[in-house]
Amino acid sequence: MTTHWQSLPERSNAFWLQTITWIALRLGRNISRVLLYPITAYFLIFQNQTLPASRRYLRKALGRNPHWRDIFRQYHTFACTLLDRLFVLSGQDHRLTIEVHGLDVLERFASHGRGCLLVGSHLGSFEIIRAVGRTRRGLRVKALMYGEATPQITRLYRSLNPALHEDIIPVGGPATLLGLDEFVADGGLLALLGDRCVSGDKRLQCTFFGEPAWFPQTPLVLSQILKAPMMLFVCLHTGWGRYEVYFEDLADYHPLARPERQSQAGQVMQRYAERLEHYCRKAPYNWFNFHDVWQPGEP
Amino acid sequence: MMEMNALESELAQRLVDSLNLEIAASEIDPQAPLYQEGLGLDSIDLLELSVVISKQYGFQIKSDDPDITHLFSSLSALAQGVAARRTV
Repeated sequence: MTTHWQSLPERSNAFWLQTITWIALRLGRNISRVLLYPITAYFLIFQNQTLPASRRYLRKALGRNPHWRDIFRQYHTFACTLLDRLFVLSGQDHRLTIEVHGLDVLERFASHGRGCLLVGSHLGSFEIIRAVGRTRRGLRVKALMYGEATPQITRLYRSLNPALHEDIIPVGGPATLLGLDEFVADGGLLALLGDRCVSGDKRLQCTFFGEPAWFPQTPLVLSQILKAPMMLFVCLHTGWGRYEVYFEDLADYHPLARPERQSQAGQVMQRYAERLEHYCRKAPYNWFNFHDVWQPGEP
Repeated sequence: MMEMNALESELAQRLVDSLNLEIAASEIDPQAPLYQEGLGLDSIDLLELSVVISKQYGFQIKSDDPDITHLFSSLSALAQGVAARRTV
């Protein structure tokens, strides 16, 4: 995982966010809807470094060789969720229809006053979870953010919603995670990505669509440090402004001796990979992890 | 390498045990940075270390702590911070 490898999506993300923000906030939602098509085409033609990873994923998820229109649809779905993220950040999430499944699982934790880890993914929108957190009073969500701490994106987020921005914890820097033990012990929910390894992460391989793919040990490690159970969540884009959120149990918290962590992480992340695969088949065009997770390499 | 005082040795041992470091406590350089270069800890390790400190010495280190950079600048600096702030 080189610096170049990580900087790729940041650059395209910044480009996307700036373009779409301008359109959404100046021209309104209906015009942005139409313009998302040429923007998607532009991205496919000029920002196409991610196409091989995209093809590899789609071949697995669709069970056939992907056509250009499949790839277009995947990138277009991505653009739609970036647009909707702006509405969430600017407090206009009433414009979105969000159907939530498994909220009882989440509220069971909340009723015990104990927080948990919400292990999300690059499938669908990670950000929409914050809209759910805000509409359910008493649910406090902080999100760990990887590789999105480029200055222009940080500035954009902060300008859209200073209060919500405080709930984003950029990973990196010695002190960023301190105090999360109190936050979770106090009933807070900590969301993080379960399908992205960043440099310095301990990672392991799990079977994902029949082949070994890289997953981080971070969810299990944080669960042990914070003494918190893990839940899985996905937020699938199912149509214009429509989302379906799924929460499910991933793993209870049991204290482990330090050497047991790795084998337990292997089990938990394998289960995560299987559920992720299930949701990938359900909503194949929602995959926004434009890195090749099946790339060979050392842990 | 400088000699460690009693609290530094105690902290060094807790570091090695709680973070499962592949280095003997006595081999830690008390002046080396804990984060990244030096001891090679990452932000998750430092979270775990702060939880251990909170449990053993009865005080919390938060992300907005004004002394944060100094506390993790070396084992020696951390030991001084623990000595000054400990409640147990």
